[in-house]
Amino acid sequence: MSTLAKLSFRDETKLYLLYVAAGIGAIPAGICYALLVVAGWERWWNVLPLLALGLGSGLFVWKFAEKRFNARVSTVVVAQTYNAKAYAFGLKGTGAIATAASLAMLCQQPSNQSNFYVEEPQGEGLALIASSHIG
Amino acid sequence: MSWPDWTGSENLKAIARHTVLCTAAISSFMWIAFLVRVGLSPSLLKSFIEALEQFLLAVLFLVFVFHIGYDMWKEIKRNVHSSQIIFS
Repeated sequence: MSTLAKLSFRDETKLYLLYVAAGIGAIPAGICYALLVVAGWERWWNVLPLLALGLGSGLFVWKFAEKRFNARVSTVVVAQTYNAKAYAFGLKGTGAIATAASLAMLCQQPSNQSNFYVEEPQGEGLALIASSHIG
Repeated sequence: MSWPDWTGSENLKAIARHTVLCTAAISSFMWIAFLVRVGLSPSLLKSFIEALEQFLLAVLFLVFVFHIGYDMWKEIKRNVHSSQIIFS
């Protein structure tokens, strides 16, 4: 299965699970409604507040589950990035890609800041300073 | 607001996606309710489960309507924002 198909499948599964979670979140209000039905007190002024309560709790559980899913996905992505091994600026080992990305960000001069003042030749000087701190 | 803002491919794709997956979730709940109804034969519990199932289906439908509206609104807002950037 290609990466794109995997991502798409993951998205679809996530949305399905979010709907199921919303349904599970509405179960307490549903139990109240079912008790009313069994007791024979099913009137619109009873049902409407319960429906609003069920919708509210369902949406709350949806949001909660969405946050949990997103947090889990971002944790996995960050962990994969930091566990990747590759050569970068002569460094090899765990976190080399992350180090390279950090160095690149440090060495890059912001294009919209004209008052950024550096005495040394920009790329080499900053890279040397950064690598001496890392090493 | 032009008509393509409402019927863009992204919106239709989102609607189709939500429709299919909400139907799948509703079917799952109906299937579970059916199994529980078959497992529990007393009529009082049966009507209890039926009422609970009806309620959950109604709530899932409302959640579906809410998210369709929310997704479309987000998409339209993005379209309008990008068209403002292009034409400014």
